[in-house]
Amino acid sequence: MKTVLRSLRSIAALAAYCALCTLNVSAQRDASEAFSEGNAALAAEEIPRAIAAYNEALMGGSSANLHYNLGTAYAQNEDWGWASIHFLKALALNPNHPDARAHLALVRKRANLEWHNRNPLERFAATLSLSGWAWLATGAFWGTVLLFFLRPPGGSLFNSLLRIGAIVTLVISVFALGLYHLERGNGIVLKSSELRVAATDSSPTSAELDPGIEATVLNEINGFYLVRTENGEEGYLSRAEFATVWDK
Amino acid sequence: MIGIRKFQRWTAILLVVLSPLGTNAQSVSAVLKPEALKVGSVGLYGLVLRDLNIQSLPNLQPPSTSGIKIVNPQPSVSQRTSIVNGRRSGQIELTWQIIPLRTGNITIPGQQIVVEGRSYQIPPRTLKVLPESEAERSRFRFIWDLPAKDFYVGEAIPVFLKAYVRDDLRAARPNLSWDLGDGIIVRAAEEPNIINEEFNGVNYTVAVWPLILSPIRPDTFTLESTTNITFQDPANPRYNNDFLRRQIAQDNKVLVTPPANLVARETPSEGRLPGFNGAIGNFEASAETDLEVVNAGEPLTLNIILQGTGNFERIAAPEIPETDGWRVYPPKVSFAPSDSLGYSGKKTFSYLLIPADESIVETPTVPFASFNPYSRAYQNLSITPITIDVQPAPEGTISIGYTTPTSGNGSTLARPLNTWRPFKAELGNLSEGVRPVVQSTGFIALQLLLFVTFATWAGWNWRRQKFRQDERFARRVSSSKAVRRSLKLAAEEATNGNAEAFYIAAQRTVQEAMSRHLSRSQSSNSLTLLEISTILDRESARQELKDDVESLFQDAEAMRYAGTTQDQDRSLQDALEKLEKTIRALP
Repeated sequence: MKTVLRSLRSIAALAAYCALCTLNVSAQRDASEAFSEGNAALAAEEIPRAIAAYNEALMGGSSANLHYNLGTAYAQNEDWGWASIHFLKALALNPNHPDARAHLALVRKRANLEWHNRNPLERFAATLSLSGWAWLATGAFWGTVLLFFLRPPGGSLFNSLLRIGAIVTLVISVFALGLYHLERGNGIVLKSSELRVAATDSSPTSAELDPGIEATVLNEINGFYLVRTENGEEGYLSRAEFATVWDK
Repeated sequence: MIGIRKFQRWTAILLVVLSPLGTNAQSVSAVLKPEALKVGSVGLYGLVLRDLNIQSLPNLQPPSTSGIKIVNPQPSVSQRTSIVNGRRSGQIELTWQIIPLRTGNITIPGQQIVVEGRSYQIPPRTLKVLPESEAERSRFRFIWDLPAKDFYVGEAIPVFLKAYVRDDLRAARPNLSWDLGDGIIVRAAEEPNIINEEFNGVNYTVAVWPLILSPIRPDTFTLESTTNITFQDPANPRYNNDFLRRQIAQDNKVLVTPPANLVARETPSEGRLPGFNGAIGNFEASAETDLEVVNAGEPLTLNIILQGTGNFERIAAPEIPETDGWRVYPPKVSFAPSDSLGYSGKKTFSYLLIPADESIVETPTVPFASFNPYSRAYQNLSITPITIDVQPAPEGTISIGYTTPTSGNGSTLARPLNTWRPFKAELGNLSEGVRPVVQSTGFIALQLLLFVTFATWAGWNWRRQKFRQDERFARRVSSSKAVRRSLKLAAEEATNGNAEAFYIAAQRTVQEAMSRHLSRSQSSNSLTLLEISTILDRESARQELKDDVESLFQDAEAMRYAGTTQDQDRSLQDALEKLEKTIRALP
């Protein structure tokens, strides 16, 4: 009886897994169709239709190329804020997406915004995606834990080198994650906006911001972001005016 | 150089001395000293000119002979004059050192020479070359060590020359000379590496010279090298002669490599990639710029870095094709070798580039390729564009570095203004939003699972260690388990109304409960009432508890031997409750 119950349980689990896989494949196909439609529209220079199709594809998931194409569509529409945020999202998913970086540089140039050279540390951090560093850091952490509690086969020198290697990997990956974390709150002003002094629609304003300006999120209150621009100005922007690189 | 001067000086002296000679019995002959030699040993080949009335000494050379190596191209010259019966006669002898390279009879062919307009025939001479004995052969070995592969014109070929000296001989470090002709450029280390090696069961000290050979034309080259080695052989009887040791203990030996052939080919034309400019080896190419943001008309540096192994000295700078919007200046070249012969290292070509205006978004593509002589295939090392942000030139400045390319009629060449790159046709892997993996449920669940697994393992491991090291703890744990088991059994027997089995189980429960005070080797079922009372006294238990334990034991004994208890009115359920209370109270 127990065996039968166990078998039934296994079959149910397998069925649930297959259903999940089917759902995922289905989502992939839907996103793929919308993506292809967006490409066709972009090739035909029907920018609004391309943007709508790419946004529909985003409902099925994100990919670096999808954000790159969407950013390109916005850029061709001279919508610098939206273009910037999608190129940044593409770079967040794949830091080594050369086209997204080139387009981001071009957008900032067209929008008369500053573009800074990445320093060597930022270049190093961009060798892996945030998820890549996270996996490396956790792998190194558990590797370090196991190496200190278990005694793997091999000589003491070999074990010492393994432990040192694991610790160094852990430190490097945590350091790289820290570099990402510094950029974590970054977002982009999507359209011409006024910086509010309070988190209400009727608040007086302190400064005007152009689309594409980068700002760091300090807090989130009542559907408003408290942000600080690169010039040091602080104030509130609504969700319609500002978007973060990383999804909340 | 010194040899040539010496030769000229001798020539002048000889002309003065020989001018009055008569013309009697004029002849030219060849001599060999000795006429039999062992292979690899040094002999002499001489030309003797007798009674030649000459104004200038002709440029004579021994004929090139297979199997004979001429050690000194410039001959040693000696002359002798004699007067017999008032008649003066003279003789000039030109001598070359020769080394036979193979055994057998080697004939140095005759040749015809013309001196002062008169022709003379030099007769051929035959040298008998004897083999070395096995013992002599095992003393030294001198070889070329070439990689087993095809060779190409322009390639830097790493080879080794190895001089083996048997371990029991005492040899001075030899000097090296080679004769590879004019088709190969040689770079050699100044000092050999000394290693020990076994060959045919004999231990040798080996001097290894690393060399880099670079053939400069397609041909078959015969590699030959000689080295003169000075050594002492303790097995030689002369060595042990105390009286003469200092004079004769040292011997000389000229080692000659067996000829090795090196066939150099042109690199194949099939599959040749654009940008190939003679780089042969195993290279990796990369590029970087010193700036990512630059103003139009201002320079930036593009460094093309070539790393690996190969013919660095023959690699020309990659040519950057003329690209609209860029002005390119010839590069500075630097090379940082990582070995003494420059076979491996890093070569950097630093180009100065100036963008014309802000429409430029990337550096030009630089075609470059190398040929790998090991895989015999071309490698594409082209430099892909690097993204550059070109800002407009600051107002009030004049760009002097860049001249806009113009067409033939002087009008400015048109460049596309729309610099957006094409969209991507492939969607790529979908992820759930732009979220770091650390926020995903799966990642967190995995970490929790790993943590729980690790904590469980650590707890189990701690308990196992504790069991091994703390006897009291082990006894207490096993005792608690046994008490629960016995108590459960007693409860079952009480429910079934089986009084005898209940009291036996009850007694066993008390014994198990008290066993935590025993050492590991002691068995719990052998505990007597007296021992239990002693333990209770030691633990300062209350008298009431001691009485309860005693009563329980007595009831069990009475039930076992008399079939009844002292208090026949008490039910088994009451007895069970009392047992549970007693067990809870036990220390």
